[in-house]
Amino acid sequence: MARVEVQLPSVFTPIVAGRLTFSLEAESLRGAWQALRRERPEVGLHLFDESGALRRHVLCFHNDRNSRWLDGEDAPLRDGDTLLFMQAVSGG
Amino acid sequence: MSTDAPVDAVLARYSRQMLFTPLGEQGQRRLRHARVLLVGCGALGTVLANTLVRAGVGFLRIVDRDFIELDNLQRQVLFDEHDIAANLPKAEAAARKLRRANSAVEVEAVVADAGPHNLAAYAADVDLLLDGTDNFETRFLLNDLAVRDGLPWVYGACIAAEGLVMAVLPGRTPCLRCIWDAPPPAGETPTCDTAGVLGTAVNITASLQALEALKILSGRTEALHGRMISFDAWLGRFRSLDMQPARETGDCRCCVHREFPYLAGDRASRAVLLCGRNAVQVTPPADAAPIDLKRVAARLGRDARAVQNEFLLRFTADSFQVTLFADGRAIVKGTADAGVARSVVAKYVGA
Repeated sequence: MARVEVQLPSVFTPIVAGRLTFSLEAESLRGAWQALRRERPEVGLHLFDESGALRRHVLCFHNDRNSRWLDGEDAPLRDGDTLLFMQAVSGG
Repeated sequence: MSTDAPVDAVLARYSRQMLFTPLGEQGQRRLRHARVLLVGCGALGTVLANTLVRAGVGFLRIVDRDFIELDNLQRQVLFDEHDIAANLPKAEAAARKLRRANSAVEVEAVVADAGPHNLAAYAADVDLLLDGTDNFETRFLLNDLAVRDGLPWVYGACIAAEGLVMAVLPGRTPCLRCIWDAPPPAGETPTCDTAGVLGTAVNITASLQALEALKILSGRTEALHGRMISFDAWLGRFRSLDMQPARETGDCRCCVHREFPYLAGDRASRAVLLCGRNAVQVTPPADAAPIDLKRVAARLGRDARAVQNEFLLRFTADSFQVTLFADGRAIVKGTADAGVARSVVAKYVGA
C-alpha cells in the first residue's frame, strides 16, 4: 500500500472543515478513489457519481498527469504521490 | 492626436511595455491593428477590458446584458457609484471609462445577451474572443464558435480564491470540450453568488487571460504554454497543468468531430415571460441532467430563506423569488426581462 496525498480545491473548505489536504493508503488510482468514497463519503459525493466514476466536471491529476487521458484507473501509486482534484469553474 | 504625427509619438505611451523585449515595438504595432470581442463585462470582463485597452489593442467590442449593482463594485474595477446612480448598463459604463483611459482605441459597447443567435455576428470581424462570462453555457458557446471559425479564445473562470485560465488555439491546443465534454448539471458546482469571490482572484485570473491574449494578438504565439493555469490565491497554490494529452489522446466531439450543439442552439436554455405575473420561466436544455434540489439548497446562504419539498426549492435572491423545479425549470418572479431571469438562474443555480 502506498500513502498518497489528496488535494482538494478550496471550494471544499466548508465540507472538510478547512482540511483540504489529507493522506490515504491505496495501491492504485482506482483503489484511492474507492478509499476516498469509503473513508470520506462527504467528499466522495461531490467527486464521484453513484457508480464510483469520476463526475464529468471533475478532473483528477495523478502527479500532475490527468488520470482520464493517460494513466487509466489501474495506475499504481507510490508513497508520496499526489492526487489533485479539480472542478470546472463557471464564475466570473 | 494628428494623423501625421510620427509613429514613435503614437507609440510613446506604450514605452514601458515595448521595453519588454519579447513584445517590443514590432509586437506593439501588431497590437494596434488587433480586434477583440469581449463577451461579458463583469468581474473578469472589466479587468480584461482595462488591461487590453491600456495595452493598446486597436479595437474592442464589449457585449454584456447586465446593469450595475452596488455589490459589483468590490471587484468590477471599471464601475463606480455614479454609474449605478445613472443606471448605466455595464457595457456602456465600461466603454466610457475606457475611452478616457486610451482615446486611441476604438471601443464599441453592445448591450445584449450573447447567445447562439447573435454571437457569430459579433465575432465576424475580430481576431480573438475573450471570456468574461459568468456561466458555462456561454463559455461552451464561445468554444463552439472559436473552433468552428478557427478563432483563438481565452477561457478564464474564478470562484472564491480560485481561478482557471487556458488559451485555446483551434487546431493546435486542446479546446474546452477536450477537457470537459459538457458543463456540469446545474447546481453541481458553486457560483460566485453562493461561494463568493475575492477581487484578488478575479484580478489574477483576468490578468493571466489578458497576458495570453496579448501574446496571440502581438503574434508571439510561440510563447503560449499550452497549459491550464490553476491557482488558489488564498492557499498559495499555483499550478500549470499540461492539457495537451486531452487533445492527443481524446476524441473530442467539438474539435475532432466538429459538432457544435451550443452554436446550433440545441443546448441553449430558454426563457419565457409568464404573462401577467411579472415572472419569467427559464427552461434548461432538453438533454440537461435532473437537478438535485438538496445540493442546490445546501449552497444557498441563510439570507436566501430557502424552502424545499420533494418537488421544488423556493428561495429569495437579489429581491427576486426563485422557484426551482427538479426537472431544472426555474420561475423567477420579480422581473419580466428574460435576460435578467437567465442571469439570476446562472448566478444562483449555475448554468
